[in-house]
Amino acid sequence: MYESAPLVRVAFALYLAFTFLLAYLARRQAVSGGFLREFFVGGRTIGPWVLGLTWIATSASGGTFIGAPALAHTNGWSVMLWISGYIVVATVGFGLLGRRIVELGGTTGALTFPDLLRDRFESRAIGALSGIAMLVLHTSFIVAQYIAGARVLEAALGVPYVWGVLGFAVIVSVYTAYGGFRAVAWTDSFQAIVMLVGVLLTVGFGLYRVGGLQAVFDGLAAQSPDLLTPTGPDAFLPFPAAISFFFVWPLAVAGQPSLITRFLACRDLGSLRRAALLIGAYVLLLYPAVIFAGILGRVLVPDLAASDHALPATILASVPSFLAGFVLAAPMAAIMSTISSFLLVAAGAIARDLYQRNVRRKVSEGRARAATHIAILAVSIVAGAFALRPPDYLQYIVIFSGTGLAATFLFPTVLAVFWTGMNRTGCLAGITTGFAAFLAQYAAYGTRSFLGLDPFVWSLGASVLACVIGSKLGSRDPQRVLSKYFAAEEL
Amino acid sequence: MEPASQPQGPDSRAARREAIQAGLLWFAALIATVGLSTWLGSAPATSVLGVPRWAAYGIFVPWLVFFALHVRFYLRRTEDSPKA
Repeated sequence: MYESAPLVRVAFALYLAFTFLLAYLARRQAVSGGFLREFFVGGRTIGPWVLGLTWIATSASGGTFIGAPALAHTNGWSVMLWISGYIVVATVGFGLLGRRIVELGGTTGALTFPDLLRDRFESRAIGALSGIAMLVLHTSFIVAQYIAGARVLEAALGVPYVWGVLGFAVIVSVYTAYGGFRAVAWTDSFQAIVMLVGVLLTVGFGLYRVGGLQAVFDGLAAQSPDLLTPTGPDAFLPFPAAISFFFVWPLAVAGQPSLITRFLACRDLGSLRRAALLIGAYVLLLYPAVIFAGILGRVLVPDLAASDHALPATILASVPSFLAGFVLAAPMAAIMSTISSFLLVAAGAIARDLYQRNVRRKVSEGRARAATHIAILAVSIVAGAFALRPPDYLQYIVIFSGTGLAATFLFPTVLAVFWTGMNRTGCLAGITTGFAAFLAQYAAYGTRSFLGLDPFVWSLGASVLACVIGSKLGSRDPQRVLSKYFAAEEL
Repeated sequence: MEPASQPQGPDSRAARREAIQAGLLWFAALIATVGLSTWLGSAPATSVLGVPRWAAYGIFVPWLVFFALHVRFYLRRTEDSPKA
């Protein structure tokens, strides 16, 4: 527990109140056209600002605001190279699938990520498999976010851990269930602004407190020259790992189902383009600053009770107390926006992909609403219960949900939407091979597989190969299906 | 499931071109960033305006260059078309 003022609590309470107000206003903007279409893709009316900000707020999680500054506090400037894949995260995240998914959302009517794959191959197995994978992995990721959020509340405000977890579970599930995708997107947008302003204020006040960039450089050099090298202390980031993370960040983001779903909600291609421009600038400002905040913390607060306290401790040590509450909302905003988005995806997996599309195809609006709200409640309860007593293997599930999900689904999705020769056999082979290759490498080698590269890199390669071989072995999809996804001259 | 609004699917070729260009930018950024940082980082750390030299020229300069390319990519290369 670091010193904080009552003003911090007041500012934080105001932040929460404004989040609820936005959720309420978003709900009032709901358009007609069916509950599920409104709840899961905001009626496909999301414009560039909200699209861009919800995309980045979902992408930036507790890991970005808690884990990454903690790594920077421990390993110094090498973490800037570790995160450098974010240089092209907007280019790849929007450029690889964005345009195609926006176009297909409009023509196929897909509401969720499994909808896309299931209907492309007319396969209930693919729909159910992707739905179950997303439910399990997104729920585990929510558990990790509850833990990170409760730790921040504990460090910054002295809130007991159990109350922190319960608070997160109740607050986020209420506004997500109340307003659906539109409320999540609007609150994400506000939270993205809070995140950026909060981090920039931390860096600005921190630099002023330390005495400038050169003083930070000298302070680190006095502690350990290794803090200034690209490999870091104890060879934190050897060359193969640096290459691996340039694969991991942009491609894991591009393949995240919760981010692909954002494109289904996009109004048109002009909005997509403007959102991509906005996010390129946002990432350029946010990510170097958040890592630098951790580096600053090493000089300002060299000794921490726990490394995860790096950012909250740096904020409290550098920002004046009347602003600290607002700035402390930045990590909370990152965590809350990720939870709400993942909650929506996990609830969609239950209500839409498993229930409506497998058990009961024709549901009334009231029943669809009830099923969705029950799903959100169920996921919140399960995730909250796990967060109270996190299992030992949770960290492995979190790693998998971050990069394994992309290793499993990225190339099956890319090939499904771009290649007319891709078929059901290829898709199933790609999904299962990507999953199995990732899992097997982690079990056998941990985070450093063949040639020192991350398992993610080899799993992507194995998944592509399996997609191609499986498609060559299986029969071509019928013309009737392909003509829904490709223009006549491509067939 | 909503009914399809037109009898044939959208042409994927423009989107495919964009995806390939995005992939090429990613590869160029990988070579520039990891290559320069590793090469410059092999010497003892010196400061450029308070930033280690390898990070200034291996990360921040490439970040600005690829941001400029990103802007160009989305301003000039993306061919707008009405939502299908």
